[in-house]
Amino acid sequence: MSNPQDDKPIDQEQEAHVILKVKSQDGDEVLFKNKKSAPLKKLMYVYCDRRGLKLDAFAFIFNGARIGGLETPDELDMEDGDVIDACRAMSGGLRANQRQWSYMLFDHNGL
Amino acid sequence: MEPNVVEIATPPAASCSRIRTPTKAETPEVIDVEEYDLQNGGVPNGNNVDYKNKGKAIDFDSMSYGDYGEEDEYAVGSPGDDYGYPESSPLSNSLLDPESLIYEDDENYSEQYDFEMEAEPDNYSMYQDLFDGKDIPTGVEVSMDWFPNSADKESASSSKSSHANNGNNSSKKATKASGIHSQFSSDMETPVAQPWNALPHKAEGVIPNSAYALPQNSKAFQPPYAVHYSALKTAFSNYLQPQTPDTVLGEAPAPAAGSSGLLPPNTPGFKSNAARFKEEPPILPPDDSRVKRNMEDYLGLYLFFKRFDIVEDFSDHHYASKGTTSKQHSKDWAKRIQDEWRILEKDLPEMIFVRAYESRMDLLRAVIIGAQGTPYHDGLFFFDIFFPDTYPSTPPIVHYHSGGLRINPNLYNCGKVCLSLLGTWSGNQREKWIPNTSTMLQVLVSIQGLILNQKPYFNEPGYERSAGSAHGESTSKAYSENTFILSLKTMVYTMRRPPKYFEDFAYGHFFSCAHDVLKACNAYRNGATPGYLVKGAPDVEENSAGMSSLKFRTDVATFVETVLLKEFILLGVLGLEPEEEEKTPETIIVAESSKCTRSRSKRDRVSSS
Repeated sequence: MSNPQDDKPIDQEQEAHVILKVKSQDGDEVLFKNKKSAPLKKLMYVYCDRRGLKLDAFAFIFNGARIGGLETPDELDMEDGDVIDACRAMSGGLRANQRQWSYMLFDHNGL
Repeated sequence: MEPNVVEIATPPAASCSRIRTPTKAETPEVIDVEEYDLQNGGVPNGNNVDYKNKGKAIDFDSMSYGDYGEEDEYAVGSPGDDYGYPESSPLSNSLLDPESLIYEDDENYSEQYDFEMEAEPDNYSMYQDLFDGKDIPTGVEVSMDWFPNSADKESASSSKSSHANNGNNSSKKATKASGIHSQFSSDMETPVAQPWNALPHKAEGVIPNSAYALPQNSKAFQPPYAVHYSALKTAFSNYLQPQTPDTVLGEAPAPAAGSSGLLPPNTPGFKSNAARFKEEPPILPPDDSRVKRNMEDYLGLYLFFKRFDIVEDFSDHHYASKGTTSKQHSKDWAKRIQDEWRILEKDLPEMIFVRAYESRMDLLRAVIIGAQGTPYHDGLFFFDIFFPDTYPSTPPIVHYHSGGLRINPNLYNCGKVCLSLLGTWSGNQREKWIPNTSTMLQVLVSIQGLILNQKPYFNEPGYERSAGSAHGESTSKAYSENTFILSLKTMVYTMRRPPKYFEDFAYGHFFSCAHDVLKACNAYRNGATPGYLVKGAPDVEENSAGMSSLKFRTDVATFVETVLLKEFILLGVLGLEPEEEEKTPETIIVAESSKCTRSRSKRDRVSSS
């Protein structure tokens, strides 16, 4: 889950930007610097580009809600050090879909 | 800033070279989204390409699956889909016949085939990127070492088809084993089998990604490979031919992906899911084996059914037409909804289960189990909830799945929920919705405690004054008897057509409490008053109000005999005889003739009484 570091003072030069951590399901973590007022679609695209995959290969989840790409860090109330979970997007049948999604949430909650 | 950077693993050195001259404040490990040098020359990959290629995903997936273990080590940093767009048009005609052949031959694997069909949108895009990353020359045949393993998996799964759960476990283990083997073979064969590949072998960190993704996909694609190996070979060679003109054409411009571009890939997914769901009934085997097999699945999923979960498909929600997926909400609204989700996830009581929707934060669905000691005991009551834009200034909108039955003065036939907290009825200042203080959890608990209570008759405005009087109590008893009959009907409606994502819960719940319901109905038939039975002491009456009415006893007996018992038998509940001592339902195998005998003896017993 996200651990906002409230006790950390915000640097003046970094005021318009936010440092976000994207964590994939295999433990890989990447740091991104994004404007607070810019949509997160660019960040999602850059991450998928580094992995060599298309944009719909990952489901980006922040605080349990999926990021659609049009939100900005200000809208989602993101702070420096917030973690975005990049889950492998899965699809399947109706029952299998439920099972897979539960597995994703299981991994997400760290149970 | 420094402690934050120190804790994180260093990204590969190659990625640092792509970043332009960093500013003083910028740390080298942090990737600036704006200054990132896109490998596609700044042109984003179009979602339209996915949409066009989805119809041919089966052949592409089957061809690229054999190379997945080998290609995956170059997934990080490999170029994007440069040639995806021009390749789609020449392939559409040549691959039409192989597709039809695959559809016809897979009749025996229809259920597993559905999984493969539904896996199209994701797998195609993933494999396409990996496949285009390599410059494989024309005519080169890549090794397909997965073929022997899939044959073993098929035989293993077929031998255990009678036990669905065990079959799933064994297939999962076999899948993981083949994944490990694939990794090993990819490491050994890379320098020898593919000399044309100039990319260096990356670090071991790439392999876990392969181990993670491969087991998920190989399970879905297992049966068609074993059957159509020669057909796949032909398709594979066909696929390699168009690469030659692509090199002449060079990089094709990909269409820009805007906000509207996001919708086309998603919309066919929902439609195709609905279509496949409709296709299931004709393919299903006879009822007995279907019910039995499904119940094993349902019981397993029922035991691990989460109290709060996030699901995807909101198409059958009552308020699905209000608002859209791409609608933008204010920051405070989204934050408040997330707080609501957090509260529900932590504090839901054990009789309430909630489902939220991934792409629609404004929708919610809840089920409330009727409490013991009420006429609604063991019933399931579903509510669809919608958060308006002005939330939390205005209360949420709640709709009840009534099925045309009014089981409570506060729950109307049309599904309206009459509650001061929701603003659908008047109340004093404390009872109404208080902005920034009232929560969705409070609404659900209020519905459970105040609406679905022991004496629902007095919920009607104006009738509460007569509580305690003889006339009021007798009218309340009659109302409770009628309410219980309607509650039984609601149970039957729920068993026949449970809402989406609650099928496992509904079937498992009624399977578990069928004996309790029948025991309670038997007590009511003997004269007990509804609303006073507790599970632990079924024969003790708390109230001395006396016997229930003759009409109620007759109605309960008739309904149980004609409808409820039949539904429970269809559900797979075994040992439906109240006189017998209760046994574990899974261990009893009852023949059809024995069921008929019991029904006949039950009918005689009813007629004698």
